[in-house]
Amino acid sequence: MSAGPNNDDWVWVANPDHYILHEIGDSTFAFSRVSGTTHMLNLVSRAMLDYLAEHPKTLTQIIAGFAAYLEVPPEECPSGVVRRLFGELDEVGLVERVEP
Amino acid sequence: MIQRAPDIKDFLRIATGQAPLPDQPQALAAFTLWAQQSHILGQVAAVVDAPVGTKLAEILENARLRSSYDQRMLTFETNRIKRALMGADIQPILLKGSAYVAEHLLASIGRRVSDIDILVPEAQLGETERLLGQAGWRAEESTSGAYDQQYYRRWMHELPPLRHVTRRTLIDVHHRLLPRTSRIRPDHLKMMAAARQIEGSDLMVFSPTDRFIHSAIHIFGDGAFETPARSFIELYYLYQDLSDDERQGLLARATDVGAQKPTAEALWMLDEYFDIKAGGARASLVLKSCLRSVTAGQGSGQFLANSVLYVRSHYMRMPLPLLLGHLWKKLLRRV
Amino acid sequence: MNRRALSDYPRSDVIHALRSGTLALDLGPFLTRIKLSDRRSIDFFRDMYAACPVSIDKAVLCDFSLCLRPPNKFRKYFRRQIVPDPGFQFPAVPLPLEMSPLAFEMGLNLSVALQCFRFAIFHAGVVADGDNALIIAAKSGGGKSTLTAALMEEDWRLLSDEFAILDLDAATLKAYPRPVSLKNASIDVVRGFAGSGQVSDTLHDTPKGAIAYRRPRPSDIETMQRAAKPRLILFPRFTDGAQAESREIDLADAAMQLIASSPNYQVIGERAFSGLMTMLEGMKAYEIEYGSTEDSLALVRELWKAHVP
Repeated sequence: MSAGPNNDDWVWVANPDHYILHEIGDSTFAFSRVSGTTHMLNLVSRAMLDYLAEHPKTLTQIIAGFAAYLEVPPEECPSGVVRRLFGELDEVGLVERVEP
Repeated sequence: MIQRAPDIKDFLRIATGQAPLPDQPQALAAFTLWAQQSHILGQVAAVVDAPVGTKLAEILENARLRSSYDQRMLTFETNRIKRALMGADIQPILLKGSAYVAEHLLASIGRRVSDIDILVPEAQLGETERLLGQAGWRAEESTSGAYDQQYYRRWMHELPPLRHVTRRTLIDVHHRLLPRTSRIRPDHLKMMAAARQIEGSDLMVFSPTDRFIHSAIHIFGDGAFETPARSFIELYYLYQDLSDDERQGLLARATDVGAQKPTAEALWMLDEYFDIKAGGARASLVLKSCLRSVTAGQGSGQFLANSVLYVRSHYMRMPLPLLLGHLWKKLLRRV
Repeated sequence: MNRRALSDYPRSDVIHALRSGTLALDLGPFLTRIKLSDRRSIDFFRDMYAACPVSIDKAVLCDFSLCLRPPNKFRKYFRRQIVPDPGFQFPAVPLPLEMSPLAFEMGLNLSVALQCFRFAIFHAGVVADGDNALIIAAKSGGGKSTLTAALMEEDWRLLSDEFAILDLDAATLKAYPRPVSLKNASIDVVRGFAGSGQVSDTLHDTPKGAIAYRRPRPSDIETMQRAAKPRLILFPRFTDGAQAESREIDLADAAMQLIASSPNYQVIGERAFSGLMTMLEGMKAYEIEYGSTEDSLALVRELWKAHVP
């Protein structure tokens, strides 16, 4: 299951006006104002959300750049995992497509 | 003939902000209970601006919170439909509540809604179903059996209801406005041709005139009578949102798209319950007396009237032998 | 408005008001209009709610309306059954007429769980020591109600056996002191320490097994307008013969479990989120496992002493 198709011409962003973050210990609670749902994010999903909030990117750019953002070697950040992390945020509506 | 309770018209006027809340505690309690039971308290809450007592303020705040959830849910589900169909050349028309919310209409304010209706061209039904399925909308357990699936696909005007596997929200994907078997056959193609894009979105809505006509078809042609007050208020606000020209053109357009009867009945209702001289034709005696007893609330005729309306609308949707066949199979399957 | 304790009204007035559906129960934050017609639920109500403020004036505005009625006309005469009707479509299972007290309690729970949005509601028992509250999260077979009833014997105030009702602005819990629902073996346990007089007759062979109710005390009703600040969340687990043990759990996980137990958190939206996050500040969450009521009380005493000054 995915939120919908993807295409490498499409650019994605997380808009901090559309969610509220609250930290409890190592976890982040994200309340989406768009869906009205509360999500519990671990450190990596939280980092993905912050990374997407920086500026709009295509999925290819996300896959290529996320390891460097986390300051870990690329092999510790396989593309399948990055895809899934992105997919989960897309699925719940925490990221949105914008015009390039 | 069954008499209409004297207060229904007053209640509708209060509920639409045309009259103040009752002063008398007992009348106020009766009105509030009626609004609670009619599922229109959110709409009442939206039009009350005078200060009210503590308990009523709490009751109205509670209703406001409930109805704002429905708006948020509809908006988000619309957002998810758009996401699921992204890149496909499908532009669904939002119907009813989701259209009212997307267009910020008076009819959407405080309105309670439970599911989402969209309309797509019949030729795109398969692709729409496939894409929505990938995004998590699957046939409801109660209608996922082979018989129900076949029945829906063959006779109904919509796909079997699709429920989202994680969010549990329900979408009805229509390809026409009433079942193939219905006696009223509105020309949905003409109405689709006049549909327009929502600003800043790939999604579409009916023209204001067609929106009113569709609501009238749904209420008077499809038997949405379980909550008459809610239905009447919907039509009242949709009418309020029409321009003078659109109001003038209603009956001509309704005749053009083959929905003259339900539209005339809706206009009759506006005259009867809201004193709006909208030029509707007369409703039949049966319809009138049924409506009066349904809106009368707890009257002894209510059960009977509800059944009459139910049969009436079901009868309109399906020729009798077909209806019997369907009920028969349903019965057999249960044993 | 005329509102007195139920027991201060003449018996016949109360019965008449219940039968005609004009009795309004004023309990905690909610006013509920109640209509009962069978003798058993009327007796149950008059007994268990004796200390509660009620009004018998039909002009009273209510948050909810609850009516116990036969599922259809036929069932009025033949193998008599009853369903709670909270005023909206709900697929309630009809119960035999003798179980009407259960139908009534379930109906009141449904009314609150599905129709209240002014407060975030979490499925949990709540007791308070002065103005500090302890949340006992519900887990099937966890022993929430037994522990709640046992803590009442230790002079905790009963806020609710069923719902943690969160005031979203104040981040405090509201009291809604209704009878504590006891199942099977816990019925005799509670009769043992609270006295038989405090527990209702047992309803046997209900869909939930044997059921009885422990009455709230007059002091719980007198102090019901006093909200309490939650300090500690417990997830109890009763295991026969288990060694008493407590284990701190991640507050974030506790929060997710509370959210999952809520019938209205999602509906309320942003205010429920911010209210819950404020409520959780400075709180601690523990799992406790025990094999006896004495052990559970000892664990609560110890954790309470450690965290609440």
